[in-house]
Amino acid sequence: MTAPRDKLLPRFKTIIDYDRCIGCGKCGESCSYGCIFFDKEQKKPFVKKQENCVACQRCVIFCPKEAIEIHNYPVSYPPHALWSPYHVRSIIEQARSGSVLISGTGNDRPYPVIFDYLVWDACQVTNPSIDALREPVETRTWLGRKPKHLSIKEVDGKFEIDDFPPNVMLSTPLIIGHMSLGSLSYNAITSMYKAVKEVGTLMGTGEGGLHKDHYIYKDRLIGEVASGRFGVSPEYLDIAALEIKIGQGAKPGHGGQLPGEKVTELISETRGIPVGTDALSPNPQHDIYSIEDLKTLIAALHEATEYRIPVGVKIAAVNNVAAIASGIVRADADFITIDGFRGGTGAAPRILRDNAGIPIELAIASVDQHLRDEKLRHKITLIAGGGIRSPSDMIKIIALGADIAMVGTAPLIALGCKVCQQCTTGKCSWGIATGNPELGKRIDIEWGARRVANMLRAWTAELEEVLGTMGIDAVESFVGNRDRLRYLGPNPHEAEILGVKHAGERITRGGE
Amino acid sequence: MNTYKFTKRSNYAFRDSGACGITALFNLDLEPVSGEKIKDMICVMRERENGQGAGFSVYGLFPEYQDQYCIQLILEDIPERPPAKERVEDFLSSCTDIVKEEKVPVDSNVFREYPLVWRFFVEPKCVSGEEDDMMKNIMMYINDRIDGAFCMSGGKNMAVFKGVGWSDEIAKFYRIEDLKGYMWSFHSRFPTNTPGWWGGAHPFSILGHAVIHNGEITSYGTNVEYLRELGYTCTLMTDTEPLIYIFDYIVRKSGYPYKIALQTATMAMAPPYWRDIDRMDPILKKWVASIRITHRWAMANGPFSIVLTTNMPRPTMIGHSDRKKLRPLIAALSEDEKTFYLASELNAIHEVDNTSNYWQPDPGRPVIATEDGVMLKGSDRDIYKFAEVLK
Repeated sequence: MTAPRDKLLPRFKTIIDYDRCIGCGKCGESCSYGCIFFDKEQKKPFVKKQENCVACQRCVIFCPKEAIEIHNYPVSYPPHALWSPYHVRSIIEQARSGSVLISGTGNDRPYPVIFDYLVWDACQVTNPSIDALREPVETRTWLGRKPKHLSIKEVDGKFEIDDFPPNVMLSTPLIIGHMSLGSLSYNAITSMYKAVKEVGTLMGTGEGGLHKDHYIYKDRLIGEVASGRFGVSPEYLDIAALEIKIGQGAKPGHGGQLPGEKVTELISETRGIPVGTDALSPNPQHDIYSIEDLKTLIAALHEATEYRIPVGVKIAAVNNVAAIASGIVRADADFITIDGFRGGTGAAPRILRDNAGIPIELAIASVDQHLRDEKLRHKITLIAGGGIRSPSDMIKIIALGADIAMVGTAPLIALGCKVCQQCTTGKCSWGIATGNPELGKRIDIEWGARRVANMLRAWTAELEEVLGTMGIDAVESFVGNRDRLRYLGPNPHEAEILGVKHAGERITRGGE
Repeated sequence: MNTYKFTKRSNYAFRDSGACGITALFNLDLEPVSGEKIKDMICVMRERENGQGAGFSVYGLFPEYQDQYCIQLILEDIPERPPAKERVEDFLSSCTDIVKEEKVPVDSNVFREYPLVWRFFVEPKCVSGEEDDMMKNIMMYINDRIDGAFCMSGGKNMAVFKGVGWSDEIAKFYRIEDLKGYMWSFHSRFPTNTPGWWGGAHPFSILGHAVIHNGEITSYGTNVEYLRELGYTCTLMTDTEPLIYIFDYIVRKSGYPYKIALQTATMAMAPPYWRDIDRMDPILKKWVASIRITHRWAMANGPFSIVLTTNMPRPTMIGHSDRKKLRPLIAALSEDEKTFYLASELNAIHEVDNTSNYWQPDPGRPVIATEDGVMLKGSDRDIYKFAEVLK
């Protein structure tokens, strides 16, 4: 009796046009997933394993003759509104493996994107718009704690500022989020470090420690202190800012694992663990079971860095995010990063990635409002990330209450990522999400740095343009300025939570 | 249906903004001047108003009641409720000692309909040292909670008079020629889209401060949220309201030494550009950057020219504009150096004094006059005077 069979159908169909093909072999070289194979003897590529194609487009882009096409696999799933291919395929995968499904990138489910329901204001008549190309429109932003007012002492009839908390200067309210060496290749990480240094903004190290080659970028890096404490050394603490990672938008409540086979020599010396051991970051930080424990760690990091740098906390956007954030301010954090449920990841249980947490738009609006109710908002810098795709999303999240927007997937796209969601496999054909040094070489560091810096600059330029059309010449005057946003979506309750009026709504007197 | 004619905005009103005329005069010797003069100044700029509101502030008006706070109100009665004046009086007697009250004399021939204008001289019942905070809260409470009452001002030895009408009508209605004070500001409105309401006219006042404003604040949402944290509620739905609260917070409440408080407040509202701050010497740079970072949401963005008047702690007049000077403001000092003027247009100053020396303050730089004379002329170089007292 033969064993019953089932298999996952391919998702894509790769078609090679042999009339156009010149047999150069670029496609076979490009394919890191084992789909296209180039037969050197016949000088001819062929599709060896169709189910391995992930539509990463590397072969298509590198083919000099446009001879490759990728289509959706031409097989219909029997139509069913409930049992969509997503569910059918997931069951087949689990029936085969018996394990938790792991995915990379961010939540890909078709939830509404609230950013797309928001529009902003512009100047007309009563108030001149500003031409950002001719007149200053300032985007400089400071990360750190702010006093309510300056504390001043008088010395010999002159006034002196007594004490001012450390603040890091950013040229733009846009930073790159935490991505570790290990989840990304050495070249991808170095490209982004170089770019933020050049632009004058910041990037997070992720929980990967800091390779000694990267010490030159320290003044532009936020060092992550996560549950595994990998790479947290005295040298590491000499950095622009520190961030305690409690949670990540893609997997709230979860930690992380870098399997032993990915812990190479390079990773081993950066994280301070032996080659080949699993790098396991526990779900909670085992010395933080409560807000008072968090306060202790914040104090310890402040002490260890002699109060020279800001210490912040990153949390995932969950139901109670507003109250948790106010606890974190009271625990003396200098900044808070909120990561929305669309945030990216190198690897996360798919069930968490797709279902846990709340959208960043709602989370930031409620955190901002709650901190203002508690009279705490002016003290801290609020960073928002998780699903910010464009300068317009960045602009909207600032108006909803964030000081700084954080991006992760966007700069990876600048480096070549096509969002094929295979980060967890380590086979990234673009040399980004991989520990394989051969694949990593596919990114030229100079080229990568230029691409990412261009993106950061372009977003900043668009921010300046937009602020100008709103008659605002410094970005701080736009933080939490919901007055300039309007809602244009299906659910007025959403607008209420955001604290944004509906488009066309006139200003009415407040309740009395 | 909106039953309020004077003390509340109409139910569907846009936030106020627009053109406007501003004028101010200050006798630096603190000698009383008749209201005639300021009236002549404002009325000449007729094309800057549209009859939707005007108002003025006077300092030195009550030499006999210098130590009491003067709560000056417009009042209207609502059907089936006790008269507004009674309700205000009940409230005031619960938290203050009313030393004197009186009807503010008005000319009944100007408007077909007009509210009752009344003033109370009060002393708050509270711990010594907290009088100002208490009076601030009393004024905010009246405006927020007592239907049919609008408190125009609540400072010492000063008052605000305002309403809907052309500037000459408002001047006539409040019989400005009978009033005398050493410092005046007068504003005429050209609101872009609201039918005016009496409380919505300028000046906006809190304690001894008053502001008149020409412009539109694009940072309104950010400023209001900041003020909410600092304990100020913006209820009047006008761009101008946050400006006076920002001024009050920084000058009075934050406890900055008087020598630097005015500079700090005006700098927070219109700070130097970062590119200029980067070029300053280290001490000044540290100060200016710290002020800018600390009070980042106090910055008033968008076009404005304003006149701030205050007598707390000393009689002071400030003319200020946005960093790009998108609204006009001109300053002048009479030939005898006894009278200081501010106006939207030079013709307003020439109307009453055509031998004065006038100048254009630089964008975003305040002109500050006190009884000691013009302290700062609104020049880019003023910052070095500020630097002299810093370390």
